[in-house]
Amino acid sequence: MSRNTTHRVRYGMAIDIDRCTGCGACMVACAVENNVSVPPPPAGDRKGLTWIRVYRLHNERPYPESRTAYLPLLCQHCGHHTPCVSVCPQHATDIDPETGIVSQIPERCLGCRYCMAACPYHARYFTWWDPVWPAGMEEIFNPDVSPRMRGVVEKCNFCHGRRQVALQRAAAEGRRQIRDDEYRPACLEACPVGAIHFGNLDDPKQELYDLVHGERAFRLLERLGTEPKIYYLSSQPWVRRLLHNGIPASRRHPDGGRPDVAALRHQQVLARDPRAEERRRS
Amino acid sequence: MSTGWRRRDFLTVFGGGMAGIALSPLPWKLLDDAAIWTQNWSWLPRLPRGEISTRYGRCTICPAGCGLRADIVNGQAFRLTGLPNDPIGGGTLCPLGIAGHHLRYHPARLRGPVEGGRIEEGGTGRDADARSLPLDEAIARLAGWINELQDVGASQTIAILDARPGRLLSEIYRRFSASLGAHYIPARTGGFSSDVLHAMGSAPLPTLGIDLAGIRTLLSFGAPVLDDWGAPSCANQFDRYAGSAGEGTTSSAALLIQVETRPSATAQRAGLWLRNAPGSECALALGLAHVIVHEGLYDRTGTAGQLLDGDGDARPSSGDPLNQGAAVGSSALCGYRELLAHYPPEQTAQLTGISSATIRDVARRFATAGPAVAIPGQDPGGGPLDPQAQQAIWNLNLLTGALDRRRGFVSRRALPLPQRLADAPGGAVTSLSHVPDGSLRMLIVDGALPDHALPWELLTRKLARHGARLVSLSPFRSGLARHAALRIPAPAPLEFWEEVPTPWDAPTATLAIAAPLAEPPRGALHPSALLERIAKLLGMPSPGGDADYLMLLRERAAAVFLTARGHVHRGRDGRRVPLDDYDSAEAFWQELAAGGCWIDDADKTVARLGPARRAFLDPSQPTSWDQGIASAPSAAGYPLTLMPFGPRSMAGEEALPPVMAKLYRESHLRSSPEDVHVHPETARRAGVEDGLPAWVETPAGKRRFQVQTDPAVHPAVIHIATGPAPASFGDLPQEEYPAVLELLSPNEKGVWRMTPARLRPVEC
Repeated sequence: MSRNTTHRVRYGMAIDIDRCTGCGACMVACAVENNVSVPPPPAGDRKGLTWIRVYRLHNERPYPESRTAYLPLLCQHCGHHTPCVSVCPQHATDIDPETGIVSQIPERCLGCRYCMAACPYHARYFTWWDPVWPAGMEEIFNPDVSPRMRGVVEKCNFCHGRRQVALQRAAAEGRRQIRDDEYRPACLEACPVGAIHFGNLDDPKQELYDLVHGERAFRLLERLGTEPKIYYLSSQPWVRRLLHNGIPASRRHPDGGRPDVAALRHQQVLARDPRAEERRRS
Repeated sequence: MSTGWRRRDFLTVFGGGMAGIALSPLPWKLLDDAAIWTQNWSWLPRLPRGEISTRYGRCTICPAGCGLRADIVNGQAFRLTGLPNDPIGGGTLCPLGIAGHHLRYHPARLRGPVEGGRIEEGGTGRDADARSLPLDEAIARLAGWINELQDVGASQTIAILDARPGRLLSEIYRRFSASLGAHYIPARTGGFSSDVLHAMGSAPLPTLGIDLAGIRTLLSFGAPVLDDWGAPSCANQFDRYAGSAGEGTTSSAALLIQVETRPSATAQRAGLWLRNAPGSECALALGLAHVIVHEGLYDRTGTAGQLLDGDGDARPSSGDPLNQGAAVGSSALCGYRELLAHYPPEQTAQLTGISSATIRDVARRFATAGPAVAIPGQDPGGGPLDPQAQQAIWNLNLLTGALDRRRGFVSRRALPLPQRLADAPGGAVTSLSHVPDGSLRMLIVDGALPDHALPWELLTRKLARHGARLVSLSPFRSGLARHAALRIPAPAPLEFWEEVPTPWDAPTATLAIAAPLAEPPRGALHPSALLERIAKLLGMPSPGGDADYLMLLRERAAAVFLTARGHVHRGRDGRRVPLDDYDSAEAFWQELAAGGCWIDDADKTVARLGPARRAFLDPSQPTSWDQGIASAPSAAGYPLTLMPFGPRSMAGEEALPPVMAKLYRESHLRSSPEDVHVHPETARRAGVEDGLPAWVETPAGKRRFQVQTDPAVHPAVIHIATGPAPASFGDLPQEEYPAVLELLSPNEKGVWRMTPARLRPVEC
């Protein structure tokens, strides 16, 4: 793991796929916390807006070997050669050296979407419509997070607003650091089965440290060398096989959905038969 | 040499200047400023400003009533989170609860009474087709309609459908119905049903809950134990029951055996998934009972032993108990034994599609690895199992002693009523299936959000063919409200004082109070106040005993306080405080109003069946087995079985928080009601393809759906989700929704989980 930054804290996350029930509480909590707007119904999985999306994985096996799992996919907060940061002409996205969080500054964003093209995880979303909510809902916005305008890119920032509130509270109490339990992203707080773990990846005293160094941990597209700070945990070989090769796509609109459906099919073939790739190449 | 500027010099300087400017920060600064300027339009929503405070309460969107913490700014809740260590929610909220404060802004929200615009009159059930009317006029209109029926002696043609039985409001409905001579119809709960169990007994049985944490083997017949966010009173059973099936995952302490045709999340996470042939739950339960009785594995010390071995010393010494019914001398037992004799494992295997070896193994495990319970579950969208199947499953519990011990099914005490209501008992309770077809001329539908689907067909067959009126008290113009001739909206969830009574499956009695987090609109009226005003107009006695709803809630809390039992789980810090520690009923009320939850002590008395036990194994109680064991219905030309399903609290057309609905819609995390799930081989035989549209035809009609192939689906079955309906998301046109509920034909017992069907390509 590269240590090419001088972060005082390196926030990261571990998501236990074996525990995730796919209830979607993390998605909803994230949208409520961050004032994510409600695009009109034509917004599907391609043009919809969310900072975390739960994908359904299936091993495509018949009964009784049929298995389903769920993959919450959010910005992976890459720590090395961060693709979105390197392509942004506006410096609208950057790595916070204090925390390792890949931030997004919507006011600077031009909407060129280079970052979306560069992101290998498809974890960035473009606001295709004016931000609208049902009438009167402005009065229940989270006062700590500004709504974004149409034409900018949005993504997970580990609930940066919550960190700011925690910092303010710590400052009011004369502290310069925040305690571990003072800052928790909304998705973690909402997960009913405790599948999401958050903390400082460099702190050996935290449970997260043991989780990400355990045998069940892996990261998406590790071969790209982007050093994501989101770790996934699973003991199920078919899940690890499936996710080792990429990220899943929605099954409903395979031709219009993202990412590449051919890649998904390929993954499913591999999930059924891990040696298929070798045979194909030979 | 001329010193004048030539055209070339001018162009050089100008071009160089332009290039210099382009390479300077200036254009980027301008671009940056322009980007910022274009993103700060005046119409961008402004954030609320003010001091942030915190309140604690309960969520009333579904019957669970999880504890919540609300962060408030300017008097409005902007964030809802679960209460740590809450005994019901387990510290979190479900997606409905997290966005629950958004519900009041739903585009389908009614802010005052409206009439007309119902679907039957050619409308769409939307506001544009309806006419607003003042609240007083709406109340007078409803009172007038009731009066018309009273005048002609037709009060018995009026009914109130209670969407969430068990509340104080339900008691008010019952008293109002009794005064009027009308029917009070409680809606079915969304979880396991003990209705059949109570019908099986010849004497009243105690109210039963289930203690899922205290058992080792859970045999679930389709109960959504691990789907979504669990059962109301035990929201999180994941640690106990999930993960035992995944490759490489550790086995859990308890084994979940899921009997289910559909590849549900529970089925795929269960320790053992038995994919049975559609409609074969009853046969499987009888087959398991056959093995248990044949091998003498039943609980010989409990009721089953007394019944099968004979009372007292009349126990058979040896041999096959199946052949010793005559020794007991009970014709009922003879009938049960004869029935089981038809279901040896080999025969059962043919009926269910599950191997005889598996049937034997499961029966042995169920009988010996106790405490074990069998749950006759019901899918929130697919509805209940057939009563025969339920009876067979309850008999399994009887055989293994699950109804005779303190773990598994437990009896619980009822919540005390306020004194003024306890003195005047409510009227009779009528099951919807017992209401004669075509007999209702007015149906008043309660406004609580149901946690399960209810096919419109089930209600329409009860309504008179001409002139029947449906009155909706729903705060939204969705679901059944679209059929209503008059809609008088109740406050939306979190807008009024509401009670969270004991969930249907809780092992002990509980009581919590949900304080309002927002003001209801002026045109909304709580149903208790509505009935009070109608009673006054009609000269009837007050259904609430001349007390308003808040006063009744306080009096119920006071009645609980007088029991001096149990403890309070405090909302603000999660501490358990014995009820004795509160000085007064007022202090207890204040604690409940601040998110506290009272939990009764466990009822130490075992749910003894008493004199009722004789009726249990009688195959003629409450349903006759002579008509054959329930199985999938068939019809000529319809080779498949359509089995609907749906997630809890989202199984119908009810309103959902907009942000939650849009995220579900975009992510396809839930099966869409526009998709039909079939086995690839079934699709091939029907000539339809994955991802393409196809017709689903049943005897009730046909609708167009999108085909989704799934190798885990049973080849003889097609599955379609009943919800969440696209119209739940907001202003989507309702008429575009291919509601599968309209393709179903509920039978006379109110069961709609299986319908003969066929698939056709759209070209046909």
